[in-house]
Amino acid sequence: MGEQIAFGLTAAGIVGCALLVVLLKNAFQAAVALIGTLVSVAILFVLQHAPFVAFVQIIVYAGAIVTLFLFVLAYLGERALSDPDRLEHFEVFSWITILVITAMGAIVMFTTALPNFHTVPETTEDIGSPTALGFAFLREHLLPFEATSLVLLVGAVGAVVLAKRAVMAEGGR
Amino acid sequence: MIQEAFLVILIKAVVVVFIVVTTFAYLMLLERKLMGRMQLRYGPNRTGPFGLLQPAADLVKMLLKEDFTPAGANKVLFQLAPVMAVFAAVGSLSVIPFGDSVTLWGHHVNLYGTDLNVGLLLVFALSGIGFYGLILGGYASGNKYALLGAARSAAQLVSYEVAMGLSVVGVLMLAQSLSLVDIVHAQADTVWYILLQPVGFILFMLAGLAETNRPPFDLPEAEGELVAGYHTEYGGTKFAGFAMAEYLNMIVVTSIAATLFLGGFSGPWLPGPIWLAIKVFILIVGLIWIRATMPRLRYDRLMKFGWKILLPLATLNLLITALVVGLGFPNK
Repeated sequence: MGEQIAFGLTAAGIVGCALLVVLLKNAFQAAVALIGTLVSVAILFVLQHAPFVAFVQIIVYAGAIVTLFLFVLAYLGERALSDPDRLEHFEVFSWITILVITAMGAIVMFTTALPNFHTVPETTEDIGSPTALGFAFLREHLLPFEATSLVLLVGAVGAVVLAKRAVMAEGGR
Repeated sequence: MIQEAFLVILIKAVVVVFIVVTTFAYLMLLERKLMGRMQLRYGPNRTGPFGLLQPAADLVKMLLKEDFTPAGANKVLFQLAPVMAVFAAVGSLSVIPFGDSVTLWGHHVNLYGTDLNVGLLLVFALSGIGFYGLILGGYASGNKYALLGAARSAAQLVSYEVAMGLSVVGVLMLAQSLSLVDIVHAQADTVWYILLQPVGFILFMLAGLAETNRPPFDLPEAEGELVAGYHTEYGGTKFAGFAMAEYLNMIVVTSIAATLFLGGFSGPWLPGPIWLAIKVFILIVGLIWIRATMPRLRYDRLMKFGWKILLPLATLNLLITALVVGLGFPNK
């Protein structure tokens, strides 16, 4: 019961903050609402007995990545949209799309027999502790894990090279 | 994880917060006194004997000040910022082990908030959240100096958090646990990890100085160049909130350093909390000494120092530790 209440509050937090991210006019405030969403998702991980993932979620996403967003937003400052929105006349299409996607989602939800959808799922063995995650990453799925880190490294190096080229083009160092 | 009565947990929380907040008040006095002596001054000595009532006088002054919000401020975020800073600082106290389990009046009481198996990560997560207090406060003030302070604190957080995280991984490998209580017990069984991880300790303290915005890394508030950085526009209780967060973070960082590298609450004869208090006191006096001695770094040098010296050093330390532990160095 307690878990269901906690889940309800967390889910409301996720959806509410996500709506704020989209609806708030001020980009800086929207980024702050994004922190709320990410922290709520972390609480969801705690409810799933995965505290390690939960705190990594807060450190990496809520901590570092949103900090970078705020850093950029703070430097760019608040700029009001000066041009009139050219897509305003086509707004009706976006509403149609939203309705269709919602309807499709609802149909799929109610016609598909998801396992454990109406029953309480059995608790699995330990999958969320640091030990379990370590074994999963470095024993069972070592190759995908290392491949992912290599891809990230390539991305980081690529970003540095591109930025350097842009600086050089402007006659910088 | 939690096997105590709810009331016990509640009482523990109240006691810890009361003690630490009192410590915070006297920490400010200690800092002013010590810095005064180091600069051949007396420091505060008019309020009560030896100035011992100075914190109370400061508190009354802060509470009676006008609760002011600048016209250009973002009202919601301006109120939220100091709350976030204090929340994160107080929350971090929940995983610091002050001592082992004891039995009081027939109740089994653990002298720590909770022994999470990822306790250390909680501290890092909350320190990341606490930084938002600074960033939001600086942005929401609607003041260019405050905004510069906020931008600096964002850049500083991103550059130093990685080095701080890497500097403790060596300890985690030696103790083979992320739980702070287990790390203390592992040190009690072998030696203090400062002997096995001297580089890790120095890196952690340097990154900790940067994380708590203490001089010489107090660029976000640099009073000489940015007036007071992110808290320029704050006064009264909200300013007190930021000051409290800064000093509580000092206590948290030094407690974590004492726990990871100096054996935490373990020690002969005296009870655990006293040992931790002694170790924390020594480290904090060190921090104050550094503040009185070192000039503030220039901003670009601060960033270079973080990325080009601390980070590679932390990585090297990590690799060597991994090699030694992997080759079967007796770690238990």
